[in-house]
Amino acid sequence: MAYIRLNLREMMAFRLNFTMVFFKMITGIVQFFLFWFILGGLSFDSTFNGWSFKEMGLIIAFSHLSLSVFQILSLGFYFLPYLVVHGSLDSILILPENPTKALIGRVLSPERLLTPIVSLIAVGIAYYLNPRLNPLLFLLGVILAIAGSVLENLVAMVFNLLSFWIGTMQAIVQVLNNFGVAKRFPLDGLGGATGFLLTFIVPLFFVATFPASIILQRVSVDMVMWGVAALGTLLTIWFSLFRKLWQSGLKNYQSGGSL
Amino acid sequence: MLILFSQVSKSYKIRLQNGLKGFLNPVFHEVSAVKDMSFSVDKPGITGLIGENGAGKSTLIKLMTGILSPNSGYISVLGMDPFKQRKELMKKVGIVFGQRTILRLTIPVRYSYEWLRDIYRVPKAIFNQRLEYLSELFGITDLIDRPPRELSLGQRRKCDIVAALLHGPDLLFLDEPSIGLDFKAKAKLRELLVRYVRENDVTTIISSHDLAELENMCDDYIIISNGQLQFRGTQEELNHELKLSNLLFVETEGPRDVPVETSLDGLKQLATEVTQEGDTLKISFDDSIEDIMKMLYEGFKIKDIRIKKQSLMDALTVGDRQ
Repeated sequence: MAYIRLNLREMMAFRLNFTMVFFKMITGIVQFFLFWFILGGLSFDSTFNGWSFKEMGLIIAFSHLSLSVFQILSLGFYFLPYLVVHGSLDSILILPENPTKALIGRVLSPERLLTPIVSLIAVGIAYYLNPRLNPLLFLLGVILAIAGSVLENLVAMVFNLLSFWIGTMQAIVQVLNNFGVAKRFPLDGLGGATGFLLTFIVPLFFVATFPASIILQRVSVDMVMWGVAALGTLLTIWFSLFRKLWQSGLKNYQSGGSL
Repeated sequence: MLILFSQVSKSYKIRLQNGLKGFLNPVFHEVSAVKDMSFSVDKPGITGLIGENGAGKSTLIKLMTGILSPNSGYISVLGMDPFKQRKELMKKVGIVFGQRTILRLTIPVRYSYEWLRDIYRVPKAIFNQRLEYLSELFGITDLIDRPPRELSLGQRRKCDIVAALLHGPDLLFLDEPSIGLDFKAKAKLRELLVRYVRENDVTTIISSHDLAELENMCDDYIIISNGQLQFRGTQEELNHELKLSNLLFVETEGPRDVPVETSLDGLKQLATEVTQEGDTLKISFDDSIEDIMKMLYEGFKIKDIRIKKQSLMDALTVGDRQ
């Protein structure tokens, strides 16, 4: 709460920018839907690789949910390489707080907290577009979509933590972000190396395609079980890695001298 | 024991940047910032941490505050391991890095203070009381409703120091707190800090590369050079160690009736050191000046006399030259 109030006050220092924040988010979600709608010739019945525009609504909503998780959970970690390279992590380490919390809180503004609301609007639109969905499966899908987004962001956070050893990570993290665009598309048709890459290495399959497929009953029960187990295992592995690298990273931190 | 350092070492691995060759075949070398250092701070007071640029002062403070972890050795601050118990330690510690600010630049200073109040979980009533006391003491009452970007460096530094004191720390670390300030602002800041620390009985470690800045402010000193401890002790011990003397500069108009050599020999017996440059005598002495003056009046026609207390700066500069 302390950070949110501070960041809100900082945002309000620039009035015009502050008034545009909500408008910016609404236009952000509109462009997600508009992309597929225009691609389908402005028709609700258009299909893309076996997915109707209405079904695509779920993928759009879940990929936006991933943006919300990014804004809340991992945005702070994108500044970590800068802080490490410039020896400015001191400003976080002098606080009586867990550094993960402080790093997340540093950029946690009300604007970012509004993103999940926009995501929920998107999820609501997707539900409205597909009226005959099973509510329980829908709930399971949303939970798995959040877990998938956490996994995706955890991978990015781990890469950012490598800055304690590597230094600047801008280009490396950008490669990861470039892959990230793929979560907006149905990834169920991919096999071989690309499928493996987007399922296990950069686990974007779990962000939108997998939960949307469960809700729409496009996958078998076995596949659901396998997917949930794989997601749980990947989350455990990446979270352990995250914790381990944070601890060793802080040990390796060199800070900076007096200027 | 407030602070204990036992055989602490800290080194960094630095990659030599040598163009394409260095890019393809990186060569690393180890820079030792703190070497096998041991000392303790046993009682409250102000400890001056002195050393030239790059001596390891900031590294030492960062080791004491858990920002850095040592490669070897043992550190205890307020009975805690600073690196492992950093979060707990930070509740009892205030830190100011002279070259950095914790304040948000675009919003009033008060907002950053309120944020710190929440982070340190200071009850509102206590916070308001402390803020009022500190604002008055440091003369920032009119500044706290302005954003730091509109303040001068000196004003901002005072606001930074108040930020570090709002939660009432038991231990205060000030890393070059007056860096970049003019002479007048430095003196004022020093005066305010000493007043606060004495009034509130806060153990303070203050670092500076400028000896003159800390002289007569500290109860004891830690002097380091190239990451190694050179001296640890009180002002008196330091004076003794460095053989701080009084200096007498005497401008003469030549000898009286006594031969110059006889007068000089007599002076040398009374003083610790006598040097002659033309008509000027420079005499270092520890004890009474009376006999020296008598000898001078008997031996020389005196034009002018100046007495100066040798400063730490003078002594260490001479030491460096030697």
